[in-house]
This record gives sequence, structure tokens and C-alpha cells, in this order.
Amino acid sequence: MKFMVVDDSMIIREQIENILEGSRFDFVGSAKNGLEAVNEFKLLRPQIVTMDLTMPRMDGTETIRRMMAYDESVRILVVSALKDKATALRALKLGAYGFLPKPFTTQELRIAIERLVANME
Amino acid sequence: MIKNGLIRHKVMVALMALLLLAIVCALIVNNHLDKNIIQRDYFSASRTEVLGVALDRVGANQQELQVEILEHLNVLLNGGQLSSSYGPSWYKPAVTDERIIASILSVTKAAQQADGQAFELAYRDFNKLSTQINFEELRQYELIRSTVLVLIVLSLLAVLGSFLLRLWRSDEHVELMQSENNQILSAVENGLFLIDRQYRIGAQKSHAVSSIFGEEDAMEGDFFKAMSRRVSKENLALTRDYIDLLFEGRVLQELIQDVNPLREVEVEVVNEAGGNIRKFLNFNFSRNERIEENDTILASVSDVTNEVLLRRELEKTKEHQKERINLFIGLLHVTPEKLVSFCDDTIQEMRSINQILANEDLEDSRMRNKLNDIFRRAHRVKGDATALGLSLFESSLHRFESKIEKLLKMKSIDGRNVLELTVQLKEMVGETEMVRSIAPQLKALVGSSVPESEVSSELNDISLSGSDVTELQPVLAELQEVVRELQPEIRELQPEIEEPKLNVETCTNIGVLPFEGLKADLQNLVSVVSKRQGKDVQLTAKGLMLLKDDSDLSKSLGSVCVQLVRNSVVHGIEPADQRLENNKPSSGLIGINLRQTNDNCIELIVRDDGQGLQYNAIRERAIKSNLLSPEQAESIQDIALLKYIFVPGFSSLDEANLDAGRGIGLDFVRKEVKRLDGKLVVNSKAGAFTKFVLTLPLAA
Repeated sequence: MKFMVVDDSMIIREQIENILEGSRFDFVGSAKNGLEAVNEFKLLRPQIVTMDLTMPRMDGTETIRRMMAYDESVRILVVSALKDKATALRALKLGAYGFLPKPFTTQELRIAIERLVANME
Repeated sequence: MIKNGLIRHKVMVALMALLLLAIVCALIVNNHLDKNIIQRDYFSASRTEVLGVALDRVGANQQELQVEILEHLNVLLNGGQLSSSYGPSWYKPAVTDERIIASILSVTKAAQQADGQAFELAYRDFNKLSTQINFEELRQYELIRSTVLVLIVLSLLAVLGSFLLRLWRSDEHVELMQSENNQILSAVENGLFLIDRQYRIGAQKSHAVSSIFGEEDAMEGDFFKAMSRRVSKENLALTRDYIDLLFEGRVLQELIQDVNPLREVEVEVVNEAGGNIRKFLNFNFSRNERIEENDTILASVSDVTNEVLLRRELEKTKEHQKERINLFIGLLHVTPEKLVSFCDDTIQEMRSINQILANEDLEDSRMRNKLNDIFRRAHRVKGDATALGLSLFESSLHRFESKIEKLLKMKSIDGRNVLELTVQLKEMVGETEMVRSIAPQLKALVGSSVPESEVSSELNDISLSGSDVTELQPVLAELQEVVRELQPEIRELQPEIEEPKLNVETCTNIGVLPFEGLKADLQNLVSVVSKRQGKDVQLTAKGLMLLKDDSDLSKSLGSVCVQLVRNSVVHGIEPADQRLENNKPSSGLIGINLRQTNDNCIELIVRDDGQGLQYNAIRERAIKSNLLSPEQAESIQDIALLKYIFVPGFSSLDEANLDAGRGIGLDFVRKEVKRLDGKLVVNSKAGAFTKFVLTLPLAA
């Protein structure tokens, strides 16, 4: 299963990649802002995306909206600091499947992704 | 739904079908019987006909009569179409009963023989017999009819009975379920209720709902209406979005818990006494994924006030500990020699204070004097702590001062009130002794470039003494941790820290602010206090080398400098914007000039280019402190007001803070000048400067 990481922090991007890279998941790419994320998404066609909300150039909610408009079968997990619940809820309304607050542990991310893909195949 | 019902009540349905069948059967039988009876009736009618024919035709043509009678009898016997004056013609089947056959045959025989007497006799017999048989048959029919009726009634009763039994059983079941339901709903600690798609709250609620909200009908009707007076509009709108998301069913509910707007939400509820209290409630919403067409969401609410408060308390404690660690780290900025000397001085001063406190003297005014004395001493030590940047001691001493101040405000003070002071004093001594004991090790810690791995072992070697040291062990352990983390920063700091020039063991007797550091310490004081005051202040100092020796005079002048400089930063120098408005450079200037005069005196000048003495503020304060009446204050000359700024407890600031407002600094200066037999002159110009000139005789 192809996954993509969207986050403006390189440390977080690498962290998520390292945690998820394994037999079941195929890391296909990452993006450091929303605009880049949408372009990469169209090229790479991942099934799973982890999405930060606060990013330069285009924020997470708008990115989710555009990704869903392009391919609504994608499963997006928001991985972001929970600053305000309103933004988080907007992201969910726009199509994200779940929300994992930062900072997260390896275990927490793994469980969240497992749940995300549980009834996919 | 209907299918389920049919299966569930199969016995009932079978019985009903049976009953229906029985009724249909009964109707058929009845119809059949009715037909037979009618036929019987026709049979009797034809009988009568035969007789009637016979009687009617008496006197008629015997031949014709005979033929007609015989025809009738033939039809009666063998069946055939019969027409009658009593009704329509009908088909009559042949008789089967042997007796009737015999009887008809004998009637026929009599008719054939045209024997009227015999015919009459035979016909009478036939008539009697047919009536009897008819009656017998009718009775049989009635029996069948009754039996069927009984059967119908019985099956009806069976259906009814089974129905009642089922009803009774199901009632019992419902009651049991209800009672179990009730038990569950009253036992669960969480408030449980259902919310439907129209956000209506379900009829069943756990008992905890009312106890959590303190109201019997807290959760009735529309959920958002019930919540509207408890949480903010914005939060409620978010909650609606959240519940909609759950109903929508797409999102993974385990993965959106953190976004729940009613998680640990603070709400106002009614307490046992009927008043309002704030509680932290945790709402949890979940849709039941095992039910396909799910139209409800289960809401569960619990009171998490204690957990939240406990967590906050823990966070506060952690924060406090962190603060303390930072304070300890503050020790690293001071050379161990200075720290040792400060600690020794502090311990000595604290012991003096303790002695003063220990003298039992319950008389109020003497107690006040004692407290003022203690205050001055503590204030002086605090000034030194500030100058050295030792916020650990600064904050403890500030608390100590606050306590004294509180006591001084009381109407009468006695020995018991000062107990609190003694306790804190003891704590401070313990802490100071602890810091004193680790000071030499601090030198090892900051004075050499120890590799990271060696830091902990260095720290482990620290042997502590003092009564309260064990309590500080955990703090030290954390300190080790922090030091390890801060190792790079500590290395960066090293060049700034002066190379210790004196042996730690021999420096214990030197004054608190040894001369070589006085200027730096004063500069530090200015930087710390001005930052806290939000001001920009520069300090220049000349001649401090004169305080090189550790004589009483030098120590005293050092402390006086601290008080005067602090006084200037707090009261003298204006904030930058105010200075700019008055066409002054934004940065204030404090100058210290120390020199030896020709007449063997030492002269200290502390001058700031601030706003000068605020005579009107002094007037107001003097009135407030009952030192002057409003009329006196009106008439008194500015110059005469000067003496009030040296009165203990006199301050132009309303609130005491770490830096000033106790009105003790200048009192200390005045006392010191007096003690050392010196002179003090104050000079000031409104909006321009304030200048303190101290002249103290050098000891012979």
C-alpha cells in the first residue's frame, strides 16, 4: 500500500517515514507544503496520506480538499498539533478519516494507520 | 419485520390458521346440513303431497289418482325430479333407508291394488316412520353441528389462552428486562443517554446524568438546547459538527477522540447545596457500528474534575520543580568563591535574625522595632542576592519580607505570630547551607571542561551536609539531568565566568561583595532590575577599588551602593518612552563616584539622571502613612519632605515587588550612615537628577 507524508518539518517527515516503512507500506514520497503535496499526490497516487495542518503556501485543510476532489478514495490521516479543534474538525469534514495529535509515539502512529487501513482491501 | 414477527409467534399463527380452518369447515358442514335439512323438508313436503294428492283426489278418477300416486311413490323411492305446489320442483335422490323402502313399497302395493283402507294404513305407517327417521336424522345433524361449534369454541379458547400466556410471559420478560435495565442504568457511574439524528435525547438515561449535572431533568429534549447554557456557542457549534461526522459514518471514531470539543469541558452545574459550581466533564460520543441502520449515538458523560485538578496540580509541581532547578542553575553563573562568601554572610545574618526572634519580648512596639530590624537585614541580603543574580535566594527572601510586612500590618503582634518567620528562616538556613556545601563542587562542574559522561560521576561525588539536605536530593538528581542537557551551554558560559582567584577554603571570611566584583555585581543588579522594570539603564562607577579591603566600612559601602543603585533604577530613572518625551536619551544613567577626601573621609556619590524626587508623591504617601495631615502636607516645603523618604516602611510604590516598594532601602542607608558616624546629603532637581552624597570617616 502506497503512502505519502505531508509535513513542513523534515524531522517529522523522516520520523513518519521510518515508522511506517515496512512490509505492508510503501513510502512513495513526501511534501513540505500543501501546493507541493497536491502535485506529488497526482503523480504518485498514494492510497494513504499523513497530513500536517499548519504549512506554508497552502494549509492542510485546503490540501485535503484538493486531494479529495482529485481522488476521493484516498485515506488521509491528519497528524498535527491540536491548536484549535475547529480547524481539525474542518479537516475531518473535508474528508480526512482521523486525527493524530503531535507529539505522537511510534506505537500511536502505527495503531492509527492500522485503523485507517483496516477495512480498505 | 413481518417475517421476524411470523417466526417469533409461530405457535400463535398456527393456532390462528387452525381456527380459521375450523370455521371454514364448520361453515361447509353447516351448509351441507342445511341443504340436507331442506331436502328433508322437501321430503316431508312430498310426503304430504302424496297424501294431499290422495286426499285431494278423493272422488276423482281413481285411475288417474292411482297413476299420480304411483308416480310420486316411484320418485320418492328411486329419486327424480319432483314438482310440488309447496315450492319449486327439485331433484330428489333415491331413499336408502331399508325401513322407508319397505314402507314405500307397501304403500305402493296398496296403491297398486287400489285398496283405500290398506293404502291409508300403509301410508300412515310410512308417514310415521318417515317422521321418525327424519327426526333421527335431524338429531344426528344437530349433534354434528354442536360438535363443530364446540370444536370452534375450544380452538378459539386455545388461541386466546395461548395468546394470553404469551402476553403474560412477554410482560414478565419485559418487566425483568426493565428491572435489569434500571439496575444497569442506576449502577453505571457514567451518565449514559442516546442522541438521535434530530439531536433529541433518548427517554432512557442512566441515573448518573442527574447526579453529574445536579438537576433531575438536566438532559431532556434537544441535546444542544440542554447544553446551550453550559458551554460556549462556538464549542456547541463544533460539537454539532463532531456529532454529524459520527452520524455520517465515514470517519474512524477511534481516531477523532482528540478532536471532541466536549472533552474535559468546563461546565457550570448545580451542587448539592443548590448553588452553582464549575466542574470538568468528559463527554464521549460513539456510534454503534454493530447496528446497520444506526440512528442514534451513545453519549457518555463523566465527572473528571478531580483528575483534571490533580493533573494541573502535578503540572504545577513539575513547573515549580523546574523553576527550582533553574534557580539552582542560576548558581552556576556565580563564581564558587562569591557563592561561598554570599552563603556565609547570609547564614551569619540569618543567625542574627534568629537570635533577635528568639528573644522573648512580647511587647508590641518593641516587637515592631525588632521586625523592622529583621526586615532591614533580610532586605540587605536580598539586595546582595539580586546583585549576584542568585534568584533562588532572592525569591525566598522576598517571601520572607512579605511575611514580615504582613505581621507589621497586624494590629497587635505577639510571639506566636513570628513562628512562621522562624520556620522559613530555618528553611532558608538549610538551603543556604546546602548551597554552601555544594559550592566547591560547582567549581569543579563549571570550572573544567568535563566530558559529558563524567558530569554525573562528578555530581555523584558531592557529599552534602546540613539538616534539610536529604529533601534536596531529588532536586539535585534532576539538576544532574539538566546539567547534562545543558553541558554545551555551560561550556559556552565558561569564558564569562571569572577565573577563581582565591582558594575556596580561605575565602570564607571575606565580605559578601568582594571589591573586584563589586562593579560587575552592581552592573548585574542594574541589568536584572532594569529588565524587570522595563527600563533601559547604564551604570558607570569610579573608585570602587577603595573598597578593596574587607573592612566593615567597605562591606557596608558595598551594601549601601546596592540599595542606592536599586533605588535609582526603580524610583529615579523613567521608562524609555517617558524619557524620550522629555527630550532625554532613552537610556538612563547612574553614576557612582567613590573617593577619599582630604579630611580622611570617604565620599560616595550615587547620581541618576532620572525624574528627581517626586515631592507630590512623597506628600501623598506621608498623608497616607499618617505622618502628615493634609493641611500640613499642603504647607510643608519640599526640602522638609526629604526626611520622610528615610522613614522605615515609607515607599512611594503601592505594591511591593521584588525590587522595591518596601520603603526599607533608604532606611537601611540612613542607619548605616548613622552607625558609621557619617553624613548623608540628598540633592534633586525635578525632571533632571537625584544625587545621594555620603561622607563617612575612615577608621583611624
